[in-house]
Amino acid sequence: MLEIEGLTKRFGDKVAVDDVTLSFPPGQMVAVIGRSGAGKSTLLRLVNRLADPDAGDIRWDGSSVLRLKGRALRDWRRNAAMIFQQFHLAPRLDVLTNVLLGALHEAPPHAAMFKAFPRPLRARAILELDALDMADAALQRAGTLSGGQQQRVAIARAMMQSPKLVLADEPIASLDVENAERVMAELARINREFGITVIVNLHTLETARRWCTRVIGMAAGKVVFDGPVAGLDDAALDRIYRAGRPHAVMSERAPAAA
Amino acid sequence: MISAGRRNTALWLIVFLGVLGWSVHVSDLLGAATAGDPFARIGAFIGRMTPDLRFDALFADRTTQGSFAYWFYDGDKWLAAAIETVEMAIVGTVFGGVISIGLCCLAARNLMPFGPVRWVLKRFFEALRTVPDIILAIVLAAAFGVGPMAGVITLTIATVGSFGKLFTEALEAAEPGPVDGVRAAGGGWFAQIRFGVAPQVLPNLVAYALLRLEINLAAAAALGIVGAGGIGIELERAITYTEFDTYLAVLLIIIAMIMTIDMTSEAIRHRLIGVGNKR
Repeated sequence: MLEIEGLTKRFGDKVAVDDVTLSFPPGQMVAVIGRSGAGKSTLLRLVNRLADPDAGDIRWDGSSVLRLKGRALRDWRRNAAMIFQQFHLAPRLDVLTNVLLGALHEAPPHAAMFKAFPRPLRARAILELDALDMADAALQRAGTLSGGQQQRVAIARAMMQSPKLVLADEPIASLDVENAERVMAELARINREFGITVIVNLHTLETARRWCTRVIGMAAGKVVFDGPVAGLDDAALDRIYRAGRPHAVMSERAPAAA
Repeated sequence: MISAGRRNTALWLIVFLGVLGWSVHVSDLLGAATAGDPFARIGAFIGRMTPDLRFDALFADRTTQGSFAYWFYDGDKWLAAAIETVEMAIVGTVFGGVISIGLCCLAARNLMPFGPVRWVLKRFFEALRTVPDIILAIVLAAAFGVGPMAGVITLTIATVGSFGKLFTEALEAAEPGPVDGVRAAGGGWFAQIRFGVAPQVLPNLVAYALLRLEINLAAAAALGIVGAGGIGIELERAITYTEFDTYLAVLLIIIAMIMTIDMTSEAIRHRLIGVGNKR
């Protein structure tokens, strides 16, 4: 169970995440929605410890993850697998190696530096790829794949980590409709089959409604809605999407319409 | 109405031209020190370097005046010295490269969060770049004795100086995304460099290293003049004994050597970045 309490992160004098308190019982499929700049990405990066908060606490099964260092910190990051909008694979490395990066901790470190991973690990990586229908591309360079395929490889890497939590930061924002559908279906499958909590940042309400059971709405760093999808009424949407300065809304809408 | 940005640019251009003009004046670039006919003197020098080849005796043995063998009278010795020069350049570049990769990972902003370490390393690279190769070679030849050892150390130091800057900047230019990808998956510092940074920057580093190999080759040829090993000593000897045709012969060997290395390095680079690969 993941618990976040009073979490705050500032960049200069801008407060990206503002006193956020949330708890996630195991097995939920959660959407985090809000305008860009609402603090969704920062929230997930804080949970993975890619960024450190200015105040507050993050606890997993009762113990804080903020004090972790070295090996323990790397283990936590592996438990809280991240999926990114831009996939963040190593484009010049082959797909299999990219997936194996999720199991670096299980390989002898010196051998791993030369991409010499033990056979059982390689076999597992192929199985993870196969679960996402990407086993055929195992020896291709990751950079030669389409966006949707790269995101599936990134999901395979995340699963290779044997995570307890999946944090997906706008996983479909760079994908076409068909691939977006595919990626969301895979995330839902992971949630269903393994009972892993999946937290997905989304900017389209429709996707959140279709795939998730719980929705968290953020605006200007604060949580302004937290509840079941059915509870998303006009008042809630107003709080999520129209909060903050009115001209910010204008500047946000203009490029979206184009 | 001219924008402030444009006015600033124009102002800087005027300042720059002023400084340039002043420099030309101070350096006496267009002054009277070049009295006489410099081009005629260059021509005369080239004339003296041209060997007296006799058409009927081109392929005769080395005792016959006017033959190739007579011109290249110690050809095998020069070739051996040229090969020593190539070896010096390769060893210096490889040593310099390996040392630089280690140091640059500690000097790059995205890999070393602790500022003072970066600052010290960057100043250290600057210091290395400032020392002229030839001074270093003279000191090292005095310390280690005449021979390639002094040359190799000189080239290694010079290489670390220039790689220090180039590699650090290449590392800093790496996209943060793939590094975040490895970090978020629980990869440590070495894993982040190996799988996040290295695949991105390696082609760049190899290109720099191959360019530096050529520079080191030319430098290695010159370093021999002060006794730091390689073919330079033959150049020096030819000038001392005013054997200008020998000078040209040795020079031709050096040029051939540089061309060979250049063509090889181009092939290596293309292979690495996959030019002409069918896939």
